[in-house]
Amino acid sequence: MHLTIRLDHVTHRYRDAVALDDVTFQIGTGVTALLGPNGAGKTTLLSLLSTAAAPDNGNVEVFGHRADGTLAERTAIRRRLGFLPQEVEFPSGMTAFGFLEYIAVLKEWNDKTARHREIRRVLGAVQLADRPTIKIRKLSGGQRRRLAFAQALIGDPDLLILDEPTTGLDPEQRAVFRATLSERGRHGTVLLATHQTEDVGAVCDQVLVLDRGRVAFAGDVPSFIDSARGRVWVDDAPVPDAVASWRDPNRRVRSVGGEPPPTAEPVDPTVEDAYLLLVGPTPGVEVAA
Amino acid sequence: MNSWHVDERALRAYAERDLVALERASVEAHVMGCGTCRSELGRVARGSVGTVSFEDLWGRVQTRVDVAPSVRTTRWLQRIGVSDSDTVVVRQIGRQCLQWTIATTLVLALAALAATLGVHDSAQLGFVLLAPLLPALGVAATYRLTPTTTSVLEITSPYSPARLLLWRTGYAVATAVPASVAFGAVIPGDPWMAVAWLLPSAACTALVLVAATWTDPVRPAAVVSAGWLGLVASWHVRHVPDALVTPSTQFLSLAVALAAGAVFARRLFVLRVHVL
Repeated sequence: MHLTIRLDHVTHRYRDAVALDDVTFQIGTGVTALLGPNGAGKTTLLSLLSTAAAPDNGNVEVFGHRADGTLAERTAIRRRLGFLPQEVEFPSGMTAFGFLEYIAVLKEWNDKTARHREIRRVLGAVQLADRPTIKIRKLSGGQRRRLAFAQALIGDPDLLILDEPTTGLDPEQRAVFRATLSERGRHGTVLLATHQTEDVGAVCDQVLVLDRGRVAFAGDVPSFIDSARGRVWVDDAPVPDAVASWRDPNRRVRSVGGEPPPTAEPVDPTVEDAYLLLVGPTPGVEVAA
Repeated sequence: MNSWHVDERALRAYAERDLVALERASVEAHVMGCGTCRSELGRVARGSVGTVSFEDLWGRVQTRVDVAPSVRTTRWLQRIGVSDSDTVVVRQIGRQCLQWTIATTLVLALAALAATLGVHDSAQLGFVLLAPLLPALGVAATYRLTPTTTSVLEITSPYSPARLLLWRTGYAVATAVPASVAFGAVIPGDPWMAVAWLLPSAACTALVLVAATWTDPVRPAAVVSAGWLGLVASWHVRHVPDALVTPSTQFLSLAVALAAGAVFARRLFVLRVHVL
């Protein structure tokens, strides 16, 4: 595994609020999920990694270059980066092709023929090849999200940073998206910030969980799931003191955490169970790191 | 009879429409008067058609369909040597700042109308206030009118930020200056008024430009505007309406513009920013 990202004791504040607090971790090739509740510091972390912001303290390195270094260092990172922000607000009056062409020029695709070929490639990758000339305002929410994803794919970057990419996608589109990510993860690095825990099990190799600005878990997906083993049950009623309980498709109640009654049956945990145990309201949860 | 002939590579580029307008015209002029090159062009063109893959051909057809036809401004920019990729950037700036361009033109037109209808003093004051500031405010507007997330994509791209800043400044100047000159021409009074605002305008724009190498240009544009408004207000209070056209104002403006330009060049050097 080649090391792509290295954070060393990184702290970042917004006035008095600490967004990232002494964060240290490394990420290599493959797909890494970035999980955490709202306000955990995920978007701040992505801003630092994408060179949009600089940390107050600590060192952020991407491909061996400092993300807060000289313009030359930041440009070296940017040449190998594809970034999808959480919400992409498109310039008014543009077509899908026009928007991608602008982003492609920003990414130094100066040869017109090669640029147009690349735009058609990424439009095809997100299944919008038949809609290049349509005005963006006429696209559905899911289509706009796919268009935003397409701009991140321009140039087949070595590092893809995606903030909530599957929001607004239907199940079929999500399947296509997962296939694309799996393919990208084989020869590059993908950092996927998401609330969709089912995406994590489907495509991710590693998991990084942030909670209140600190790393709560960093490791592979099986270890993360194992951290919840023996703490998930099904029963006919919710387990008292459980972190969360809900009805499963078999009409039984699945509970995560808490003290199970004798009638509760232990079941195999999922990514969602492990996540709820880690960031849920129950204190003192022991997790493998 | 010609003593020279167009080489095969140039003929092939001509046949594939890969030459810029000037080169194309030159090859065309020669081929029209040279039978050898004409027959060679026929051979190259047949070969060229034969070697173009279906995929390439289809790609070109799709591109023609996908891309909006070039507007006159784009063609004009390319004619003066602006690269194809930079015209994409300029087109994008124009699209984002259309409201700004329309608004400034409308304001200037209304002020000019007021001047021609006899509201001379107010029109002149409005002109002295507005004209020098419009390019500087335009630079800030090109940033403020860019959607936030598009700005993030611009920041995180390898495209030179200084180059983007200069294109935006160029756009702001190119759209504000003609309208301001036209407005100045219809203001009664000192005939120099129509152009006297140019140096103060250059000074204001250069100050915003140099400050934009440190920070978002919106704040420096606000500071420069406030400074200019204060200066004009002091002229108004002291009853010196023609202060704009005095040599001292012009020399001071030139000095500020040159100094800011020098600092800007130094900043580009320090930041190791390659503009071109």
